Amino acid sequence: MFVACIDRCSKGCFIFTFFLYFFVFVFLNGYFCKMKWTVWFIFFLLFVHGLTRAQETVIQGTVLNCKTKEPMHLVEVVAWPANKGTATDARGNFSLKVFLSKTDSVFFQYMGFKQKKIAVKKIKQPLVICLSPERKMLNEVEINEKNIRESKLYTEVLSAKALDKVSVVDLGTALREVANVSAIKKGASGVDPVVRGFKFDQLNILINGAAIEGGCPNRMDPPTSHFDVQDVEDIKVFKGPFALQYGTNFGGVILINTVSPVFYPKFEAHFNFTATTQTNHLGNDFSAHIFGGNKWFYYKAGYTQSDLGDYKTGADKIIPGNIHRKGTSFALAFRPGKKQLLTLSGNLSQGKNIDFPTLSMDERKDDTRLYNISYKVARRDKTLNTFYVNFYSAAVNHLMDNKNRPFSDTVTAVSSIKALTRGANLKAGLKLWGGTLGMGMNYRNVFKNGTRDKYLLLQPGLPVKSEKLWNNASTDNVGFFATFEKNVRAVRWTVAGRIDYNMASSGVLQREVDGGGNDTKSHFLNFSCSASVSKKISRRSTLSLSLGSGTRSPNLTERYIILLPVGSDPYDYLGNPYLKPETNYEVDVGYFFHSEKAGDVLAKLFFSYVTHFIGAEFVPAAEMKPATRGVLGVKRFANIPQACLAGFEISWHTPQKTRLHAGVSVNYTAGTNPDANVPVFSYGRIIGTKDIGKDPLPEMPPAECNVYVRYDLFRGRLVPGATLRLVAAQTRISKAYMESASPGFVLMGLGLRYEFRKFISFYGGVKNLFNTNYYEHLNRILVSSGAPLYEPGRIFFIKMKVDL
Amino acid sequence: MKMKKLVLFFTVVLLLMPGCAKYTRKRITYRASQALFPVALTYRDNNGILVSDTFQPAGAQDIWLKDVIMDEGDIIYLSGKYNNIENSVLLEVLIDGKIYKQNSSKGDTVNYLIVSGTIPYQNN
Repeated sequence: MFVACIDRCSKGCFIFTFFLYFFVFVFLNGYFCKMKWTVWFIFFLLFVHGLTRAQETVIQGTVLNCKTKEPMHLVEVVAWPANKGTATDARGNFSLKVFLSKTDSVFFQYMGFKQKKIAVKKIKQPLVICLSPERKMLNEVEINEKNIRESKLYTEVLSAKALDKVSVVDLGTALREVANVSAIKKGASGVDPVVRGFKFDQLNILINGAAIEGGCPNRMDPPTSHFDVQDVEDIKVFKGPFALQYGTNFGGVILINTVSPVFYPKFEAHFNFTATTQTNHLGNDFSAHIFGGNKWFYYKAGYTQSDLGDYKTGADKIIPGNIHRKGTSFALAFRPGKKQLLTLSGNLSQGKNIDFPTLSMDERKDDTRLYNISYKVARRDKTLNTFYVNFYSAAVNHLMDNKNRPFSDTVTAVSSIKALTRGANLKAGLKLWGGTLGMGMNYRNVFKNGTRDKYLLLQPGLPVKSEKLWNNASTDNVGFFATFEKNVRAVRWTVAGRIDYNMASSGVLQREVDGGGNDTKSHFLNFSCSASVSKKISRRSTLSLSLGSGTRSPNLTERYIILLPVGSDPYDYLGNPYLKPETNYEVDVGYFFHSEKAGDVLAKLFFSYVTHFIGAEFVPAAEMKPATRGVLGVKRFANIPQACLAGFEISWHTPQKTRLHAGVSVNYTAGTNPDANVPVFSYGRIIGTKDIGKDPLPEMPPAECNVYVRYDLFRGRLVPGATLRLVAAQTRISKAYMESASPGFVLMGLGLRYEFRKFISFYGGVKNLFNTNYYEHLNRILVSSGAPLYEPGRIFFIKMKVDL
Repeated sequence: MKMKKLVLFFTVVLLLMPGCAKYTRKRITYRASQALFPVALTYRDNNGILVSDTFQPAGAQDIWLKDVIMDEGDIIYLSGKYNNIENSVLLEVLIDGKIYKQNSSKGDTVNYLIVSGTIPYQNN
């Protein structure tokens, strides 16, 4: 089978390229042993699998208005149940490349026209479809969650194709491709996304519908850290507290999807392989996936591995940046009936010896296992048209220590934490009252337990002090939601509401310094609601307005952490079991302009008013002393009465059908705490606080502008491109959090994509072309020197992708 | 026949894979020397247990040695104490035959002499 495949794929070229790349890879890295392993793994997959070339179905055709016989522009063409779609161009033409079974259908829909469904087995190409105007179009056009929520005004999508153009390992870094998404960086990995200034548990990050709670109190292992970019099929970002069906939503939702089952008319088997290597931050990233199936079942299995070393900044300073991570994944999907889908999936990730120079410890070992089972029914013509249920379990075993730090010669600290997340989601979609009613529930349980052992190396008998970081802390959240979407006179309305019951508890906070508060239980009933309306104000322009309030309960760190420096400032933080939930009242205004000639313009403005904002208050030294060496004092998580955030995102992109692809985006966010205070010191100890009035919120990204240009040569086989990133200096800094201003910087990158054969492509280039010495404002401070964590200087990279 | 070849191939692959695993085990040598009189020693073994021993030198050239196999990142610890004010001792910890840390004392009957640390990660 393998030989047959190679014959079809031009055997000589394939072998030449494969071995050329192999030798480049080996010599660049000097990781012969690892490469040997890697190559063996590829051969293993190739032989196991019996490769066959992909046989995608390409459906091409034209859509006309039955009445006028004129071509119809922007008709939605959707393959079902693959759920892949496209839209017609100005001449009514479309081309849809998708894996299809004979039992599948293709839908054509356009507002004001009767929807048409064509069975795949009846399609004779080229296809000419005509749509008839429909008087009762408002009841006939399907207004589902996808139509509304996934329009550009509400959702931003990073597809696998877009992620291919990103030569990074970390998902958090890849998310920076989305406008107004920045990230907090503490080390080589675990880059934590920030959406419009909202971060950590203010964002609901889900992987295939499942949540993962990391073990580290300092978020070395945020949910995005457990997956390689190459594992991801697509990422959707919902900004604001408007999408309420995915769980508690305070500031935004990030949906990461690693499984998109595709069913084939006959059994097919496919293989893809990606390898990236780079200079500076020297190392490689490798992934291999096998997938395939027939019309009833689908399977996918993959392996990813990343090994990167230290890196040099633009000023030739070496920063610890080791990453050693590998992951395996699998998915099995079955179609018990034509419109049913049962999916089982698992993601196992292991990290080892990952450097976090801004924290007092490094990640020594991380073992994460996520299992998910889901069942879905999609019946387009029934009242109950969708039903979805999933159950998941995520276990994280996290080990970190300070053994690579100079002070480990005095006290070696080792922390071991276990975090378990279990949950379920249930959703039903009903066609009612001319619209779509969605309702369901989400349940999530998080459990954490962990200790820190301190070995006092210079004391006789090697005494070991053991202290609890988490004492059997757990939280349960059950929520019920309902959404209703309807078209009324060409205006799309969406209303949503949810109610959450949250309860949390922890074992006794054993430190003597915890103030004696042994009553750690708390429970809250939270309400969230949102309403969105979008109206097509002209043939090319759409305007939207969204109002929403999202409430979230404090997380386990905010409730129960015991004297650890988990913030951006040099203070030990103490959890507060008596915190109240914080609520984000947000208004968004959006404008979208689409033109075949001028391209797309998207502009969004937002304003957030947050009540009971979860910040921190100073604790006088007389009341409590810090437990970490080098910090200035202790802060306790507390509710700040109010805070405001506001900002905008504006972007323009050229039309997709031109050879020149270019775009510009500008975004900005500012946050203010109207009633801040700073500590008053006396002989180095906090003795009180002083009001300073208005103070910017900490960790707000500066204004940023991104520009890209690409040009398709030789029918898109050769695509040179360039990127420019201009980041302004951040001078709106929080005095209460002792922030420092950060300078602005300009980065330029060059890239070249070359499609050698249909199944082999290369992408190479240079990042930070001018070797700029810079750091992001949200990067944390190095523990060793107090200097900011600088980013890598110039990096040359090459990436190869084989897709069979 | 084809199946047999595949099975054979996988077997070879699986046998070769472990050969590429990184060798992270280290030979740790605890060494005490330059003592004239008995020294009470305590060292940390490969199970993390503190073991007590006594170095009873027959002469100034006598050496006390203990070899243990440990992993990168493991804590190493060797302490010594003596009661004779005319005594002295040199404590050393060697990793794969190379001196990693050492400490010595002469005539100090009050303090423990300690050599400790963690085995460095080569990968970093």
